[in-house]
Amino acid sequence: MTPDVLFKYVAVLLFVIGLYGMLSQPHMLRKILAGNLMSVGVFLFMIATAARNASITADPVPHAMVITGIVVSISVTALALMLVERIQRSSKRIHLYWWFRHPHDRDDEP
Amino acid sequence: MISVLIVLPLTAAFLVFLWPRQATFIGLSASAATVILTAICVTSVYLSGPMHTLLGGWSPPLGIRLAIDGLSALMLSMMALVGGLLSLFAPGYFKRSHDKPATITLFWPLWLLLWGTLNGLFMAADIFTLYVLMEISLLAAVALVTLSPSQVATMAALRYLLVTTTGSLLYLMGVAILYDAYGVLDMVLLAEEVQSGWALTTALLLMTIGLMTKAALFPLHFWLPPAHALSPVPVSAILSALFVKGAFYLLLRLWSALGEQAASAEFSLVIAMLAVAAIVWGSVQALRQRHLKMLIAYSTVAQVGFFFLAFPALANSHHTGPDIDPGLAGSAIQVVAHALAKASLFLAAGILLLARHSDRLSAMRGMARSLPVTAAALALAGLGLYGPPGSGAGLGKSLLGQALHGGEHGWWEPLLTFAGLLTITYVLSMLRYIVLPYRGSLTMTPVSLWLQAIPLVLALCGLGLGWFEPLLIELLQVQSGGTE
Amino acid sequence: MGPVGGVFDGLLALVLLVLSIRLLFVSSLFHAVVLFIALGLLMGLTWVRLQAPDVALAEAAIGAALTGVLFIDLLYKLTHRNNIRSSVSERLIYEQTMPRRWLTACLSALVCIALLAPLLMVAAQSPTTGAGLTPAVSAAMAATGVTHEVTAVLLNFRSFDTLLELTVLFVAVLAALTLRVMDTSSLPTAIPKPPDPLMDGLWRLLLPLLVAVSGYLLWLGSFTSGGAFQSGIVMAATIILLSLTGQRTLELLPPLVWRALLVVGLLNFIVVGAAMLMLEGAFLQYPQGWAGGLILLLEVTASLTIATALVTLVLGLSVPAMFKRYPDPR
Repeated sequence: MTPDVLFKYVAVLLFVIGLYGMLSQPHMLRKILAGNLMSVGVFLFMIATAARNASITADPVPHAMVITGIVVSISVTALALMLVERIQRSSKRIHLYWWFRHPHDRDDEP
Repeated sequence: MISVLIVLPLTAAFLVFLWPRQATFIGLSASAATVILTAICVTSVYLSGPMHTLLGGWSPPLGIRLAIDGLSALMLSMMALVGGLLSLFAPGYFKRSHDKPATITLFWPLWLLLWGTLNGLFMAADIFTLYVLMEISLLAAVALVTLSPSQVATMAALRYLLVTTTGSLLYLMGVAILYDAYGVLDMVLLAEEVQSGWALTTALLLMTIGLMTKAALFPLHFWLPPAHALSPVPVSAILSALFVKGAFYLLLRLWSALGEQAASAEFSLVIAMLAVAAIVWGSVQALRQRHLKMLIAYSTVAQVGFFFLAFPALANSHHTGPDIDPGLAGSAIQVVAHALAKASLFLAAGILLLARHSDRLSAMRGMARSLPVTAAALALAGLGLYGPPGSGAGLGKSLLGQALHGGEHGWWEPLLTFAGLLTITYVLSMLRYIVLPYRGSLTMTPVSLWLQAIPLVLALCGLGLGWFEPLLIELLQVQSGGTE
Repeated sequence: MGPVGGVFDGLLALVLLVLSIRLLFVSSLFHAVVLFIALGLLMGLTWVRLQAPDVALAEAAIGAALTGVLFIDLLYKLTHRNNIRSSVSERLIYEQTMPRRWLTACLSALVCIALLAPLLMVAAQSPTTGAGLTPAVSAAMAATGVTHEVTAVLLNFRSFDTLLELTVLFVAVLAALTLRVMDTSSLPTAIPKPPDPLMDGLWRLLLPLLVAVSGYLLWLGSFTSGGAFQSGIVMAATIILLSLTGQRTLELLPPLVWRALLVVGLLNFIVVGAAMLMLEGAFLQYPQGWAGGLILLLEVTASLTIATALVTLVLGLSVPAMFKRYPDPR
């Protein structure tokens, strides 16, 4: 198995593990970590694509895409963490649910 | 030339950030310039065919291509029409509402960034550039939601950010898979290269789920009502009327470019069922709400279901030839009609908030007498959502029905009628408050007629769209023939 | 690289997977963050193994270092502010009843398995040959004004993406600013740190070195791994380190200068792009022979904007004063 194929499998697994965390973990910070894991999976897949021809130099286009992706990912992470800090400061909440309503949620507050 | 449609609002956003004291002046000038530029581009597309530009002078696969065909032109016109009127409404609204004075200096750069990037979404043909554009618009949208200082809104913003980021990452994985298999990022080149197989199916599956999350199709809609209802009114209008449309448009583009090779029949059946579920669920939830903004937000969930009926319509049609597919045309027109009606409803809710400091449905009592212009706007916009024959939404619906008709599924017609009935039910349940008398003393803050006129104009535009049927169809016929 | 390389790759892959699973399910949140940073460092190693040194530079600085600082900073704040022992705020606690938790876990697992199967098929069937766009890039390199391929893609072929990427950073800063300005609750004041003579001495030594490194990386970008991003990131990391030792950094800048630094890279891109649109007919289409100079010009300002934006985003949590200076409208 060449490294690019091996790391494609790893990439796919990282992506799905991250997705599982994002869907199932209730803790906000863990969701953010899981999102970062998903993006690492995508980046690894792209870089593995770029590296598949060992005889010639790696494809620079996925490299450029991943550098862009890393910057996007830290921007999103920073904003998400600021939102968490703000929520914590005013309500001490640390959990976030997708489908179920939080015990303290009131959804008819204007 | 068309690159300016993206760059101009972005530049204005940077300048507002640099000189916040001039925010409204810069913002209004940039809005006016963008509207004029859009009008020029759309006219040019209508008269002399599709436009395109190669950014950096490099043609795909190395470079990035922007293109406007009929469908993009229609979406850009929607941006300009709704965006222009919103830009007029927002400064007046924020001045009268009890928000911090800094709100407007933050609103302008965020809204201009959103405008520019949505314009970009409707033009870019490169699937990775589309990802970056989506991320900018997403971050701007989240920031716009946090313009409301309430803690519940912050929670809604975080939920919104996490859900849509997950959607973006699913989309990006699709991009990675497509690049892995075909080595190009340009949509037209991809359409030429793709073959049916695991790569294409998986990529389309991931991108579709990702974009469905962003477009809030049932059951991935759960983030939408709080985010849309809790933000300040101009922001609710932007998100509901315009932002949701970007993801839907992209999905339509992806499927018409790459869908033929995938198993589109099975897919369209699943989408059709979700769309129907969205219509029913959204309408029922809308009926249960006691706040006007929440009701309007759930109505968006239901209306998104209507848009997605385009997919079964596209799969159903055995349509060939140079004419535009009636399903695609119907859906596009419905998107525009919905944008106009929804913006009008939210802005009218804003006027109610300014006048009565509440958006409870019971606060609407006595509106017919005390706020006749806004009451008329609400009524007309509600009508525009339902879409009587001759209106914009009515035209879209009849085209969709035409496309769905004649296929093997005979149950579409009663279903569409039923969905229409659901819409009219929640619209009427909202409108009845307008004519109900108000009990007790009515305290009202007067709102200028100028501000009240804007939702009325939006509602009238939505209803009047139907008159321009030949023009709209002719514009939508303009299709690009591939890369030049 | 032969069997040794193969074994190394296999081990690396295994460790990556184990780390990622551990970091999601380890009960202490602090451990999870530490594992995440370790994962970032190992990713850097993986990028090198996959011949992507540019990405390795960006990942090591952003993915591991800056993201790690962000998480640890927030954790520190949460535990100290709430005055809760770490066992409560950090650990995996559940507010929900068992059936709901199980339902969530099962639904999530179902979704993930449904997506994993086709994804594994894609990995198994993905083409093992095919050079992607490498030949096209090599053929066009002569006209790009630089000799390093990744820089050519970032600042010439797909320069528009880079403008948008700077815009992403800008939007994130604007969003952080919105959050701060709209915040009505009182902000906790930062605790001033006492001056530390050892740190000060170390700084006098390190600061010029780091500034030189970041300038060198910028210049390096035109012919080998390096460039505006890496340079901006190193600059940002320097300022953040300085700030973490208790020095006042970004908050010393006058507000207008701070805002100008945040947009200078973007406006420069737009001015150059618009000039090219008028001269050459397409946005950011460089004229023959000018590409190298224009790219360097764009890179210098871009790296300033990247550095300022990253510092603002990372320190935004700890230095709230930075955001309190956005003026009201007239």
